[in-house]
Amino acid sequence: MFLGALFPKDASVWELCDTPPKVPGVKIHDRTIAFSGKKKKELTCLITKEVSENVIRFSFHKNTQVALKILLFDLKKEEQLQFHFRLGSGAEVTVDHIFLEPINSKLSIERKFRLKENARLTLLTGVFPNASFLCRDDTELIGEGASVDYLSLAVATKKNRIQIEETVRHQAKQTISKMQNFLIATEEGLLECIVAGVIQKGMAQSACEQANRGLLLGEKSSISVDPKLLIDEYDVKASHGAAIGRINDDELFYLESRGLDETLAKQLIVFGYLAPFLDQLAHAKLSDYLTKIVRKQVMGGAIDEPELA
Amino acid sequence: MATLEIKDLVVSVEDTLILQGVNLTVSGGETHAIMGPNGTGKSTLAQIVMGHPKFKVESGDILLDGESIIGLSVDERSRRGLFLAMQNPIEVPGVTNFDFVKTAVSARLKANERLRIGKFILKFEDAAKALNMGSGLSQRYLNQGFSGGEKKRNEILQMRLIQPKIAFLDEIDSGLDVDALKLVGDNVSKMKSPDLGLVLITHYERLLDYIIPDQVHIMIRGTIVKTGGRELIQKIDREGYDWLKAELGIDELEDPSKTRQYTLGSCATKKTIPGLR
Repeated sequence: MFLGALFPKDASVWELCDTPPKVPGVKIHDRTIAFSGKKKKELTCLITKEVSENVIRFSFHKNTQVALKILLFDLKKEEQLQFHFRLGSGAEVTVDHIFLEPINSKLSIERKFRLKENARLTLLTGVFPNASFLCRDDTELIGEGASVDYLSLAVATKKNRIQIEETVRHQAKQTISKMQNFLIATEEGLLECIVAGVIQKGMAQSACEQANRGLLLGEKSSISVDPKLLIDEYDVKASHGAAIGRINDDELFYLESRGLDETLAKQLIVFGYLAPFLDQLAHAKLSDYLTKIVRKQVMGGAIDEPELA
Repeated sequence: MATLEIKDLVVSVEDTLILQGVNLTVSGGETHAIMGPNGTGKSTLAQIVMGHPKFKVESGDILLDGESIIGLSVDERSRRGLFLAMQNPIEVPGVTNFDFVKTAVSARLKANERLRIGKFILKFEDAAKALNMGSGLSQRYLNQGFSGGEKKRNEILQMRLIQPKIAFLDEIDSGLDVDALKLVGDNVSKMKSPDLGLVLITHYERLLDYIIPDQVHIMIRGTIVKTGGRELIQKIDREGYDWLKAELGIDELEDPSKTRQYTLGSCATKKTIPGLR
């Protein structure tokens, strides 16, 4: 399996259908993968066509520090998968959640995140399904001081439709959410993104920030973004916005005037656009691999097998 | 030594003629200055030579070393040796300055050539130092967050590393303070050689104090109306362009290409109020 080259199997890499990983502080109990202990853990979970459960639960105990990569690929069954993430007080969790091709066209994903006081979640979501796809997220910040930093990249190709719905509910004081979406549509790809930040009454000194950027690369491609703020409290900071457009002719002219042909100039612009996402992927080989995936999907280039270390 | 010849060039954009028969020849080792009032087609000329797709060449020709480049794409023109330092350099977030210039220089290499990266890094650092650009320049995103002066200096840095045969510098002096102007002027002057022909587009005399032109051309209403030496610069600085317009009998209001007739359609009020015609 080609991703083996990216993630040679060891104690920190496992496929969900395998026996539980023998990593201190990681247990699978009652269909929940639980993380505990203060020592920082880095793990990778591969989820393929052999998934037997429709609900996958991750539980991060108080003060745990975990960097988790979850890769979904080769999902061929018609599925509706759910992921539940629960972060205990003070837990610091980074999740890179990557959906790779080929994924069945009827797959839909629901993710629920629940954060207690001072828990911190950094979530990086990459959606490269090369098929139609729905991802619906619901994040509840239930403890004071909880924060979520949400960065996602989605690429819609061919005639595929990708729907992304993200809701963050601020249910405690001094909670913070930052949501950034980078959206690319090629050919006749359709991308629809609904982003909602909800701050309930009494949740003072909370902050909710949304930024959405869409890049149209196909004549018939389409991106729509609906950024919403539903706020019932005065003492908050909030912002939202969306910018969608095509590659600017003047940008192309500038790059071409330095000798770059049109394809190369467009590649530079597209990869410049992706840089904030790719730069945050701590795994260099995964970043390189996703770069190649995007190049293939966006520019129609060839894709090489990842090289072994 | 390269030669660029612009012959009877007539150009339009959206059915409006903006260049009306421009003739200009620039050879390696020469420095030309093009001056003129706002909106007379100076920057347009530079962009057309570079091949900007928004303009349409109605007639005339542009030859580089005797060969027409009208049918060539922008990048082909660049690889053949043309360069345009732009008035408003574009910001490209996510692309580092170093990667961009490296890609631009690599694009010029022949199939059997490879960029020697160590040497290139040293050249880049030398150029950045000479232009007082600071040590972090290579990893900054292309023109993003640059001041106006930094953008202009970055254009000169690219020119220095790309080493074109014919370069147009379009208002490279705008946005520069006195010290930066001297720095840019000195850098460009040091690049002068028989292998580089320069065309400076400017409004002001001060740039031409540092980069001494061999010929000065004045452009009004889409054509070069006068060519001379440095004495023209001083006269323009003293008296503006009115003397020249008077000498040539030019009245801007009479320019038919800039006068459009608009029809606003039928008046709805006339139709709805009885008796009003």
